[in-house]
Amino acid sequence: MSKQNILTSIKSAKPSTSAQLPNIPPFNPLKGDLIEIFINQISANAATVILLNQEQSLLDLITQKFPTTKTILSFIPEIASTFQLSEIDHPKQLNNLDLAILPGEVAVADNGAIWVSGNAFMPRVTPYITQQLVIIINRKNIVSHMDQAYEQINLTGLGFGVFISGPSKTADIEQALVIGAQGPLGLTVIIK
Amino acid sequence: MKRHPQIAAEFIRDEQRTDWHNKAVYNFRLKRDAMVKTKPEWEELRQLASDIKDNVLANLDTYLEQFEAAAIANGVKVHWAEDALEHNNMVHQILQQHNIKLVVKSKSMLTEECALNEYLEEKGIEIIDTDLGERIIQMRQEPPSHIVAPAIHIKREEVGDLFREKLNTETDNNDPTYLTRAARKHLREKFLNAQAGITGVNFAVAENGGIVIVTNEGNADMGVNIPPLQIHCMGIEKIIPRWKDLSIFTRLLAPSASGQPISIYTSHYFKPKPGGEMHIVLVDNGRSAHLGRADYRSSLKCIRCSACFNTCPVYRRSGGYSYHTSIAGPIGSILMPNRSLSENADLPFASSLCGSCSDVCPVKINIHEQLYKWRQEIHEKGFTPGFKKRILKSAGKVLADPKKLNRMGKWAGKAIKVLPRFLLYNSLNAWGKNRELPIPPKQTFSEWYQQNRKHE
Repeated sequence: MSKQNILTSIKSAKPSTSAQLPNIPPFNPLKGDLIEIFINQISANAATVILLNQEQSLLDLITQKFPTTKTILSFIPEIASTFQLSEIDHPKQLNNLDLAILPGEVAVADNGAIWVSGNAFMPRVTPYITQQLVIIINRKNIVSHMDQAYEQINLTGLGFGVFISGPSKTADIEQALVIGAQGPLGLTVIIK
Repeated sequence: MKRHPQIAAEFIRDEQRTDWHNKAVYNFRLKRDAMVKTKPEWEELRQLASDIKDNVLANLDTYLEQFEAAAIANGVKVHWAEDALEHNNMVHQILQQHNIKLVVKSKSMLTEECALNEYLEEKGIEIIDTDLGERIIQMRQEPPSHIVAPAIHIKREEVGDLFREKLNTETDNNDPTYLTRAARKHLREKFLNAQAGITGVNFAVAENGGIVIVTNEGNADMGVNIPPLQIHCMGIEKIIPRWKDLSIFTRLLAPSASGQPISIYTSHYFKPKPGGEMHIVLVDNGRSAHLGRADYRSSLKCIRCSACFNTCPVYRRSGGYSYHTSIAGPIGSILMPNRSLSENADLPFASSLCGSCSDVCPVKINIHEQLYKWRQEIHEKGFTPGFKKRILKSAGKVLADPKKLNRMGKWAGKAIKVLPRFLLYNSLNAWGKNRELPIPPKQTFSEWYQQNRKHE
């Protein structure tokens, strides 16, 4: 009933002009090294960036970087979780999760955002509830602008996905920047 | 009811605080400018966003139906509410069906507009705002004073006092990091125990039924992803047609709001989580009527970035509460008279018409022109305050008659020179309350003109 009323009201109110939907042109790619621009952008948001060199293994890097970490939930094949998801029956039990490791699908140099597909991990709260977050991104998947990223995202069967561009933050008290608001206290991006 | 001039007069009584507020808000504008200068495509992005939104307004019914169909196919339950009460009632019913007692909510100007918190609290449901700024003002039992930075008007010492009272924080510790950590701990407990999460919506994509929520704190996603039930409330104008249109709007929103290239979290929800339920409530509440008013239609393109607040010389120096509505600032001053002209007839006058709001608007709304348009309509409909009406009437007579204007000009010039202050600066001279009258020239322009023509 309300639906019909709203739609009828819109039909009689909307402008008669057609107002064409514009085509979105491809934007000029950024000048310079996309990896470098991406690192600058996401570092400005207080993320730590590590370029993985070929001799180094991901496992060594993580062990070195997070030596005292007790609980790890990993969704990349190189690193094992410290517990099984079947051991928890409610997402809130991840409240003491020290470290989550997720694969990034595509990253945007222009603004430092990384798309993390909800198909790559579960439960959905993982990248938010964890104290520390690590995202692994392949250097081949760094693009210039958001339009390329949205084009590249795999929507098949997707229930949820998020662009992440840093650790959670707030400036709600007198605009003083505080890293670590309700989500992770830190974000480490590993480019392989 | 107190009007903008009265509330603003109270606000500026504390001169230091007014200056502090002005600077704090203008800081956002400076950051915006710095960010925008790094984007060579900025004007192209604004034009595209504006054109996309024009297309949305011309086809809103079609897009809404397309969105609903796509969302239903994704397993989402879609509801339609004609007004605030129906919206509140719907949300309450969903919560009641699940026997819910504690809800966490992230920032949403729509639920503010509908007064959802008050409604649910009356029904015995505890609702916690989870954005830090919103939690602060909720604890203080105040409405937001800014649509992006709701606690912009509050100082750290005041937050410290509040948290000492409510969260038992340390004496004399007003460090923002310390206070934020205390709030984090407090809010985590709420997130873990909440039985439902409510959010607003930044964008809703017609072609695939997805909704987008943008935050820096991660609070919306903490709230949505722990309990099984999630509810998203949105105004019907939040629709955009295509998935790829997001690539335009996500590049405009955060730079315009706070000078960030993009917010920390831009979350996209399509389907309920496994074993969960996802609801979307589409709310009209005066928007379709607003769509019918051609002069003000384009203000429905607003993406709530607050750039117009941050640049506005009047907002910065009068504070959000002086607008006495859920949405303040220049955009609120053209949106709110659409809801109720009699209650908000003062707002279009809370502007210098300098046009800076229109210059910074990422979707190119002609804000200052609509403010001017409202002033004319308000005058025609007889809502102008009596004092202003009398002044405008006599000014109109003088300005329409060159002889009268000349006489008045000469007379005023002399009067300023010879009359004592108490006669010049009294309650009839609203302009001169905080300003000195200009020093009159030795002669008027027409006197000068006639004198110099004679010599030719």
